[in-house]
Amino acid sequence: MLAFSHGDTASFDELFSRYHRRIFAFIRRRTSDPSRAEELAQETFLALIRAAFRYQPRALFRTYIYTIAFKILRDDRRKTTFRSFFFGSNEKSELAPDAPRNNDEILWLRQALSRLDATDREILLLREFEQLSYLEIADLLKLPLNTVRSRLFRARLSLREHLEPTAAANSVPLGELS
Amino acid sequence: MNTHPFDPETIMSFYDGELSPPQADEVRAHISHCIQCSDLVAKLRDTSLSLSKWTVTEAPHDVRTQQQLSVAVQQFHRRNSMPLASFFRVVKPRYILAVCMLILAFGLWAELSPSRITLAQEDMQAKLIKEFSPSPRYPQEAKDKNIQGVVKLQAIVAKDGSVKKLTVISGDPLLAKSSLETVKHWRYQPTLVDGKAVEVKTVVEINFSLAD
Repeated sequence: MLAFSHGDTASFDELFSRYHRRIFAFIRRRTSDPSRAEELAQETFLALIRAAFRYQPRALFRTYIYTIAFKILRDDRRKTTFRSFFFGSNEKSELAPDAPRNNDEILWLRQALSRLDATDREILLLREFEQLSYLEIADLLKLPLNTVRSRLFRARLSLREHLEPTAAANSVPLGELS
Repeated sequence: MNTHPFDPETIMSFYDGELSPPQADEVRAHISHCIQCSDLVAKLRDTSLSLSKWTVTEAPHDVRTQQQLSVAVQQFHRRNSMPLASFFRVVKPRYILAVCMLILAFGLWAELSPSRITLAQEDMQAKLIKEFSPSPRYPQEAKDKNIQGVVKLQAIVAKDGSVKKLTVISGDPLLAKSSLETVKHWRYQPTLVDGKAVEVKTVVEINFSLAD
């Protein structure tokens, strides 16, 4: 990114090939419309190009690009909410299916995820799919590190309970561990 | 009874590779002989495994997208090659615009604020301090040439009552010169608005008549 920001335009191709799939997946899991997801992924890279002029390597580039994608996604959600409030819209879920519609397991997973608190779910998704560290998640969501840790733990336990409601009764009482 | 040296969140941090190597070694040693903690790690692994089933299909290859991005890259390259590019890398144009707007706003505020008011000559006449405000001398040359008439001056009276600025609006040059030389030393009582002294813009008319 630093090379690109100093005018090496060829390095953008490398950036694009390295991160496009990840950014698309990041947005796709949070957007129901695949073509909209692709548009938002493109917007992320356009924003990256626009911001490259003043890019300063203060954090990991991975955090930087996810922050841009996260902001674009958030702005898009705001616009969608605005549109649905005034004009009505069909888009309701923040979580998108990307498996065949008859895949019960994925539907069950999505339902379980949708029952989580929005921030807990975001932390969980960033950790599990984007493989961000606790510090990177804290930086991206502007949360204290300990909050990220405790909410991630809570999200994982809740998800497990939602996925296997019957297993909860047989599980180890985790509260007794500490 | 509490027999675990690590809380569940620390076990999770170990699972996520968030601990330092010495800490991780300690937790690993504990997990190796603690059924409950190893069970917790297994559950965390199961949850991750469940989530990993949610795959995303490949991003569509859109030629138009590629073209738009390549145009943007070319624009960026052109911008980066511009003179003063390194200056604008540090100083954002919107900051320059913001400073200009601030200066403009301050100028407008200064212009519109009641730090200067306009008063009629009659009103200012009453504030004139007579001992510091003699009448202008009738120039001998004007008398010799039978020049008479009214000289009209625009005056800005400072907050302390002194004459800050004078401009001739009309009148014969000889009479106007004498008027300027005298009026610039005039003193007025300060004009107050809401208890604060303000500048006053006014008109001073001086009548030169040979009959006097």
